[in-house]
Amino acid sequence: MSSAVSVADVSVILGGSTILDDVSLTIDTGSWVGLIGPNGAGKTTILRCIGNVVPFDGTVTIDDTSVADMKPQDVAGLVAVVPQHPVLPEGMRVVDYVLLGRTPHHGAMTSASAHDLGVVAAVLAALDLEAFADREVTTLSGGELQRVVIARALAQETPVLLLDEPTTGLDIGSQQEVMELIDRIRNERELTVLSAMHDLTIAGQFTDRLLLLADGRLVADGLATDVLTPETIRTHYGAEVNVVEDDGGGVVVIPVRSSADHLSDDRSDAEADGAPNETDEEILHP
Amino acid sequence: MITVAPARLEWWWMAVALAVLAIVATVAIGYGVVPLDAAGIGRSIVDRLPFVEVDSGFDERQAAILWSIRLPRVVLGGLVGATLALAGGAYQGSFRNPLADPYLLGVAAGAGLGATLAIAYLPASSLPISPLLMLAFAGAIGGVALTYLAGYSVKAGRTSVTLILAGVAVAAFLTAIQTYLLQREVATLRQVYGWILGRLATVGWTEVLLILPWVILTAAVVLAGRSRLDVLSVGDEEAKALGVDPQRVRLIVVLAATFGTAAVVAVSGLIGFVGIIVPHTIRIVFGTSYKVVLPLSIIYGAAFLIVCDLIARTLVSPGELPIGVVTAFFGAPFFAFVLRRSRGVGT
Repeated sequence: MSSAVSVADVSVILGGSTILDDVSLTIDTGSWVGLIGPNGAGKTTILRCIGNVVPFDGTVTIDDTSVADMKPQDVAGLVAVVPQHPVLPEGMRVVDYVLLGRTPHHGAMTSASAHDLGVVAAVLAALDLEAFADREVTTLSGGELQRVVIARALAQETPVLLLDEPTTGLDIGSQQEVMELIDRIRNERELTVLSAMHDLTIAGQFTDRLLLLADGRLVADGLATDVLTPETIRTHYGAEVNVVEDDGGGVVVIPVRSSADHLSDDRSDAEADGAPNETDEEILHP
Repeated sequence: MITVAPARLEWWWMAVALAVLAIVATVAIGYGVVPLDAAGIGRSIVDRLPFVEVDSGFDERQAAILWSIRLPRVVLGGLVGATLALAGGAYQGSFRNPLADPYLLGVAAGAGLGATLAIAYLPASSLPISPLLMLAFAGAIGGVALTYLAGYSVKAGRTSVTLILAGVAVAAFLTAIQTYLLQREVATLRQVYGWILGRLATVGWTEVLLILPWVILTAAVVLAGRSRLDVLSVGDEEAKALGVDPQRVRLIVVLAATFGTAAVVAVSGLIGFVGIIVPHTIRIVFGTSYKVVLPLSIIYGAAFLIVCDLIARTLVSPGELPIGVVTAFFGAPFFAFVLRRSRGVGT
């Protein structure tokens, strides 16, 4: 399988601090790769390097062309970004916001063509956003807004989609809805997706492969079952977890309180009362 | 699938705006100690068109008042108002700051210093262009150049905020020099403040012809960048991810707006608030897209300043109020209203 995105020996130093340290990775065409790691690991910075919006040392290529050699308009024709905290212009309607995604496809002096409007209409329909077309973006709920930001990225019609924490701040229903939506459209449009993610279970459930960053370095690369182990997570996140494989081949990461005295006390009391002792398996699959 | 209807400038919005401008201009030209009727004004203008001959019905005195006093003044007011309103909208879009005005980067302080130097040390000469105009223009451009030099000397973290802060510093510095000069040349105080408060008193077309090329250039460049200003509204990083170089767009639009502002300030003095009142009113009524705000700002900016000038020259007739006092009288309460309405100031 060919590589849609290749990052070779990329380092980023901002304000005297090393944010990325000699990171190399490849993302196969059509795959969905999850970028995980603790806060400050450099996940967002990797995405910014691929989008060529931050200065870096090393090489980033998209379809074998270095982004450093491309104009911003050409990069935007290949890579669309869904930011973690999008800036919402006051008074701008959803339709105008999504239309911004067509910017790389027309010149500075020309306005949106009939084709541009057709693409926007199709994207709004595909994401079930037609009813929101005339709403101001600042009035949307978290889940609605995330769909609108994804719609803008899809209107760019790029082969590569970068998502920065796409489920941050969403309730569990909206998280699932957004992730299923991304999965559907990436299959329909044969997109290559790289998403920075905090929720390890969601990352393990939806992506084809995981990259674990810590302190600006790539420390693990592989399937969710290989990367998401209690030892790896303890080492790099400082967290105690149980990891359980589900029937679908994904993994579920369950945080466990490191000080479990209260649980022991409760269990002892329950056992003394004759209550059955539930195993973790029973809790997961009642 | 729905029919997508993005923000755009409707033709009838422009038609209404042009009709308002025509009515306002006609009233302003006609009103005065010697009244001129609208039909006569129309006939007289048509009479000046090539290959057309119409009797205006005006006697020689009325024709002289029309062509040498009222019409140049109204046209000048229109050009100044249009440029200040357009530049205000352009600055607000470039800096994503709803309270930015055309004087943000040191234009006013630079022009003020230039005018003070001219009034104090270079009294009217036999030059074809008055030293006041030249020094006010040069001061305005110099003020912005200093701001850019100071703002871009910052190596890391160079943002639009850096530039705005540099503008504050440069304005304070130039104003300090101006104040020092005024302390030394107290006799010029009244004349300098008269200039600072703004005036459109003009005889003939000299000032109009002087600023016209700058106004046209400013309008052409800023209007060409209007759809890019919409992209800048999502912030520099997202704009770049959408294929737009925000610093380049900002530089081109701000420089064009600055040259236009410098030119009109040189002939009219420092007329405040037009650049805030007009674009914001248009945003409230017609929407926030710069594809709409900027073209309508030109027309309504012209109409607004023509009205303010009419008030300035008739309210205390036969005396005349500085036009800056009239725009500030409307502008200050409006400024407070915009402050209340703005949820935050973008960067």
